[in-house]
Amino acid sequence: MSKIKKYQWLLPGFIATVIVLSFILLSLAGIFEYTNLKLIQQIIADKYIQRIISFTVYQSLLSALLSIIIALPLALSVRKYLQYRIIRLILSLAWLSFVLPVIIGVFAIIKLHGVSGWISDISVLFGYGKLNYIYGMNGILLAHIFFNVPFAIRIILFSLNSVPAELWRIAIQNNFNRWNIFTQIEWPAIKYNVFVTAAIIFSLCFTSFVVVLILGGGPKYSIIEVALYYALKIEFNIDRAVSLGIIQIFIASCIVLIILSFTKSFKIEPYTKLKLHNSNIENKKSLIYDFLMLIIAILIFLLPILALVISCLTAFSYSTVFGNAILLNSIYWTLLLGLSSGIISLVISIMFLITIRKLIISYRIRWLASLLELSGNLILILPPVLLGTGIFLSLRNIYNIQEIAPHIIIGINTLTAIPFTLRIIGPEYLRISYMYDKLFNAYNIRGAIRLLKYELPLLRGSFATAFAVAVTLSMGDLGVVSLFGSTEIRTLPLYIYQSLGSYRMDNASVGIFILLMLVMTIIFISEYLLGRKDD
Amino acid sequence: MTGFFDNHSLDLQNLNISERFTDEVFVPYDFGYFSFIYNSSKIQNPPASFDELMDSKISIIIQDPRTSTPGLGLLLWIKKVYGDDAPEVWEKLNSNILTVTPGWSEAYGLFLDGEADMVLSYTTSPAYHITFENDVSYKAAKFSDGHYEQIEVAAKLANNGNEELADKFLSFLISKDAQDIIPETQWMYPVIDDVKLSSAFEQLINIEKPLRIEAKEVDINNEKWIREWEASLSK
Repeated sequence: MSKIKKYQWLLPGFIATVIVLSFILLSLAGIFEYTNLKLIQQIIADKYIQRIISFTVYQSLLSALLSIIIALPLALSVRKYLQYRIIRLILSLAWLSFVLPVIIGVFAIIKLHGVSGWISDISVLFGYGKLNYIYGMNGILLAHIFFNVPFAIRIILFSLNSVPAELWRIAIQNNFNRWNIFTQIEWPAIKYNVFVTAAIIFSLCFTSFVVVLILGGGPKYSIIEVALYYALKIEFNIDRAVSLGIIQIFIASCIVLIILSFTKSFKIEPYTKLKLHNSNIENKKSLIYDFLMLIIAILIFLLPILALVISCLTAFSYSTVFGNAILLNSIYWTLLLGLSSGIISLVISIMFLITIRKLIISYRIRWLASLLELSGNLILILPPVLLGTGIFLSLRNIYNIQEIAPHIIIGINTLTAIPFTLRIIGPEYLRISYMYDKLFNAYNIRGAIRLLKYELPLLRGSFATAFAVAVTLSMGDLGVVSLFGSTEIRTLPLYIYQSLGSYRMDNASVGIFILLMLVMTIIFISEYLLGRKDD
Repeated sequence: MTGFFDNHSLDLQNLNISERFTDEVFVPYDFGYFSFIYNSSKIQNPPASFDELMDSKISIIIQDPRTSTPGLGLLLWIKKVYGDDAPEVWEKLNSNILTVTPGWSEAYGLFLDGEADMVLSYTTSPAYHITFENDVSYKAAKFSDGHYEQIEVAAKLANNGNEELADKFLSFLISKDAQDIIPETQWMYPVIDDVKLSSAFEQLINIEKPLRIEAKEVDINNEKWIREWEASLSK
């Protein structure tokens, strides 16, 4: 009996792994039913496909690299001013670009950078004529930076949080210059997360075909996902689509593994978290530099959103919202599905972490901890749409897909959010556990009481952020909901897309405006009300 | 079609497009003609053929034939008009193309935002603007080359779970009840003749000779033609 009790901490992580893996395996089973190795060989031998594959890898690596290069100095500058409310507000707003459905983000970029966008309008005003610079490789990279840098900044800031005040003080005493600070203090703290973030951005860009098609300007820039889509939607050739999917997964996971091989798994920072106000050790010159950084960030990340909001605002009125039952219904589904996926992914993440913590801190079995973490992150190499297609293929003969659609949508969106929630809560949770582990053990505080009464309050800040991230990511999903949605189950992104598809730009605009407002409300409620105490 | 669909059991002879389309699996439920839409308050002299379009500075937004049916429609349209010269036509058109979107919605959205002078859509698109926005400035450019036709179809899944209901739905789709709604929701033409079209439809351009390439020929050449298209636009 006591033996079983001794190992019951294994259970949460085990259950979480089973849940995640069973979803993924269910999907893979559906996919593998159509796998044909010969066909895969044949496809890879095709010169045209080879060209597409190399461009896919090239554009996603370049996008990931540029995003990190831009995020790094921005994050380092922003960190020093986190105590100012306005800076935190800008950070929260920038988050919008990461969670918005891609098509809406692309519209936002075009409202600012397009041929009839704001910048082009200004050029006309000064007599220079319309500007056409966004369609092509520029547009692809700019969009990927717009979508991913705010996310990268967040993750880097989270890791910088773990730098103890003592270290900053040592830096001041030893007259560290900027470069020393970076190499000695900042880089060691953020290294792991920088590589993980690069890997995540890489896999997001790898399948980002809406951006590549609309902003790429033509078939000169094509990625594997386009060929996959063509096989599935125009040719209705499932075998070929599945083969392309497998090629895509294989290449993406190889490259993700290469990126991650540069760094080790979860690192524990056994430091006390202190206020970092005393870390502003730089002079006026750097103040100007930081200010410039901030302006650049606002121009790149907030201006497109502002342009979008203003253009949508014109369609917004009391009657366009409250007189539209379909719109109200999609608000309901957006919130229901988003909140469900958000809460479930938090619960699963904490289950993973309970076991990971015990493995690392008490038993030092790192490889098993890494394996658990990996299963939580596995979803990154399987694009949600592919995951959904696989699940559809597996279940279509057993269930009426329409009836269980909400569960599938919640399931897939939960899985999609887990890598992000793990990344946000993980390091903080391990640090706190490490600090107080002996204390808890000495007082015999364990199990649910330890988690709920002692650890959760300490984790409030990262929990609130993770919650906001998970909920808003699911709310913005269009890929999965357009596979499983229907006239009954329709979220705002689907409503917006369907409005666009039936000439209703006015309805689409109202939908976009409401979605933006809802996402912002969720972010503010979580970060400013729920997450308050930790700061 | 890898056995995903079952044959329907409907008689399609009474449909107004029965001479042009009949099939054992797919039931046609509406049709339309591809055309470029422009805003007549901005463009006074729209091109009247592909040749004129290529020689003009008019910017267009089109859809990708690999992901969207209008995109595929334009590819076939140009193939039908120019045959083996299609690749050169695409190369010339390349300078007119602002961008190629994954679907109709993105293209039309960008066009309404003012990103380009014309967008590939249907001759029926102006009817929407006339009916719901009282806006008569959106017009379809009539091409002397003729206009390619799109027929939209439905079919029943092989594992549909309820044979009777699936049959019922397909026959409903071509009944008067359903066809009455099609023009002003799909903004396409109905497949039966006794549907009364609203006055907005009377203001649309008339297509006397719809262009079409036989389905068999499309099936055989589809991939080759798409590669050709990609090669021409990538130069």
